[in-house]
Amino acid sequence: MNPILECRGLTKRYSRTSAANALDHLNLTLERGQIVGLLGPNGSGKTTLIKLINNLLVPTSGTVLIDGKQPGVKTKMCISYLPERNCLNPSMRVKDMVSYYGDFYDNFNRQRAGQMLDDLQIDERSRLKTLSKGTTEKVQLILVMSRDADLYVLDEPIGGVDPAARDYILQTILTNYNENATILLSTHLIQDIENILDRVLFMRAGRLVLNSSVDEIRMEKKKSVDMMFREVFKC
Amino acid sequence: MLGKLIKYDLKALNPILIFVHAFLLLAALCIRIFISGRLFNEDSDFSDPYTAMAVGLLVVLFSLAVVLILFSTELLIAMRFYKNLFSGEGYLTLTLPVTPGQHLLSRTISGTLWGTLDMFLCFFSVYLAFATPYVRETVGHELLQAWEELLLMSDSGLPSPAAAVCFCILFCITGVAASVLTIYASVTVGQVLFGHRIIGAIAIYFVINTAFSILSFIALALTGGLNMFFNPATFNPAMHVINSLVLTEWLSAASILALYLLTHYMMKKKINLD
Repeated sequence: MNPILECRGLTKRYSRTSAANALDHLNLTLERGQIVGLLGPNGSGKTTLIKLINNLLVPTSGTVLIDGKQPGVKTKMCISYLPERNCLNPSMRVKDMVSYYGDFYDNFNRQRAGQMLDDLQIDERSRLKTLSKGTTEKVQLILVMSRDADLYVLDEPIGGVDPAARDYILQTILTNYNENATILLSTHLIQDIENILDRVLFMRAGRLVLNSSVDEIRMEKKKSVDMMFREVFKC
Repeated sequence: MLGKLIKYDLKALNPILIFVHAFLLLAALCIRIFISGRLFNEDSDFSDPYTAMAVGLLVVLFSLAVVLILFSTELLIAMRFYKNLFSGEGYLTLTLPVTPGQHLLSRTISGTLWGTLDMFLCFFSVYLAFATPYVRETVGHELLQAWEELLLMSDSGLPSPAAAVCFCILFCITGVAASVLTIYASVTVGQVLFGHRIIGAIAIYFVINTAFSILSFIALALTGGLNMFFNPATFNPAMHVINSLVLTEWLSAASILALYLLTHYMMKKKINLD
């Protein structure tokens, strides 16, 4: 079976005049069935990597493979992506968004989405523009986690919500992905998520500076992920 | 997937465009009932300055409204394309399991559909507002006379009225499609100008239109369409107009192809969302 994600010499430069590459000859292989934290300071290349995985950018050189395939229609079927910003049409109703996902993704589970919306007492008839920012983010996450995807790519899923909502979001992530799926999760809030992570990737200046399992960090280095992050990225 | 994309695109465009055009038709109906129906009849004296002024003002104001509707339809099509593909919504739209070609084709179809409908509804509103029985009789008679004169002037014969109508419809549709694709190409090329996307798109829109105007001028000049020194004995004005229209139609088709390929390339290779 192919690794779920493989990057070989992946490089992205936004313009010829840029001082540095946003991603610089990145080599990475991710196996299935783990929750991976993609961590790094601002401008380290996390979002660029996520965009390349989702075919929202074209690499300058190198390749990115998802389940052995180059980004395209087939890989989009098996990736469930939660972008950092709101991507839902605010004039649509929640139920219209559920239908939208159901229409385009064969692996979307309407029943699961309905159940999660009920749990959070979100009225499906509400227009998205009438919902608060936090509720909109929850709707977005529910839609993303209601897919039976092979790879979930979550960009700052808990960035803009209160601590109580963070717990719900993390719980939703944990209970709604299957054992063979992989979650790639980018965030700055390391303390909040480190308990659910199996592996962490530290990025700096478009390069991978650490690719380690959380157990290795805890057992061998006797540190938490947060401590390790502070040490690696000390200013 | 193409059908689903078109469905959602039309769903997003329909509410506001239906409202805008319903308003136009309602305004046309009101003008017909309360103004033109009373002004345009056998008893009207158009030599009376007040009547002439009222008619002039009415025509100018209604023409402005029609132009505004035509412009707003194009603007709404442009805004829908930009918002759905290049703003935050693009993160969802562009990660749907469809190809860039399907995205572009679906939007070209829905945009052309509404653009064409817009044009016909605008024509119809003018008809509704001003074509009173008196106007239909006088203008219709004059049009028939003009057509007969054209037939007389034409040696090689004009196309049949049915063929002329079909050509006019095709001419409108290709014109609308070219206009829609000019918008899409401008937006898609403009999004490369990070931080100045909207201004960039507007600038590129004018660049594309200017480039095509110059190319059309050159093509018309090369094919004799601009020949001012014609021999009156052999000059056939009807065929001259038809040839120019056919040439314009070919130029529209060529611009559709060029703009489609450019937009497709940009969507496939140069997408970069905020």
